[in-house]
Amino acid sequence: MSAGERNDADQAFEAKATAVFESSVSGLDGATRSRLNQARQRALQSAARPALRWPRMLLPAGAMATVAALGFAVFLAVPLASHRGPDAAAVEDAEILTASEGLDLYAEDPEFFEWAGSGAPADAGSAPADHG
Amino acid sequence: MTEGVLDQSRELDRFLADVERRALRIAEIAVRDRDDALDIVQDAMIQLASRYAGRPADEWRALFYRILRNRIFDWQRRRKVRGRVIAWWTGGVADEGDEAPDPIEAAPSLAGGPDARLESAEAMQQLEAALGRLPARQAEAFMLRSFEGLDVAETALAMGCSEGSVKTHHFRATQALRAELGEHWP
Repeated sequence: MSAGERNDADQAFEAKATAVFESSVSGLDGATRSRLNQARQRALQSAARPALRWPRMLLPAGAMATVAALGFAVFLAVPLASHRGPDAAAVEDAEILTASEGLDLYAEDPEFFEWAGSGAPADAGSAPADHG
Repeated sequence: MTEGVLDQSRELDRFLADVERRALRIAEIAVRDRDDALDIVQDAMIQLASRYAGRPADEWRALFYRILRNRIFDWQRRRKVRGRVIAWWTGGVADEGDEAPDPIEAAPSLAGGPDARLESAEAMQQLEAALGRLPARQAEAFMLRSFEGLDVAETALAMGCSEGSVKTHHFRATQALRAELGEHWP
């Protein structure tokens, strides 16, 4: 006999099993029925809250907005000097070269500036005497 | 709330009220603990309501039993892991009392019932024991087809297998149960 050839005895047995099972279902006590009812009400409440699904749908957009805000904050927090390129350095050099005060200082103490430009270590002991 | 949503909520309420007791008994047969079975059924109802309420109502039964089946498997996996941890922790002596059902607690309520109810309760205990000795897929197919009344296609969807497999599992389960319980059962 194959799976497709269920005989009368099988069907009679199945009917008896179903009746026994249904009897056990109808014999459930009141406390258990009450708990099932409460569980069902919770389930129905969860189905009646479609608004709660919106935040999930908006999660990617929220994440993008957060990343953008953080990026903007980092942009503002980073010192402006780090954004300056070679042009800015050239402008700074030009300002030094054109400032008369800087050249005057060099004229007053040429030995100190020669020593400072030689790259000698600070503790080499060969620093010229303080003229200041 | 719109009229359509109210109608759907009422229909879902009716559906869940219709399946909840049988679902509980099926889960209880699988996990052998009423409290755990109640938790499993509640989880399944919540998942169906929150995720699949918008699907056509004629799909709910198969979807619900598929969710219930997954929840039962999750429970069994957790219980197996827990058993291994306890066995390791106690030096190989797992708490078998945790697994064995209390036959008195497992029996359906007989308060005020006649002798026929007592006989039926005993018959159910024998059937549960016999189902517990079947391969899981056969027991599932038998319970979904015979207890819940799912057709072959719905059972296949709930079990995640082909319709041919459902027929084979159901046929073998019926044969095995008949052979074990005898012609004079119940």
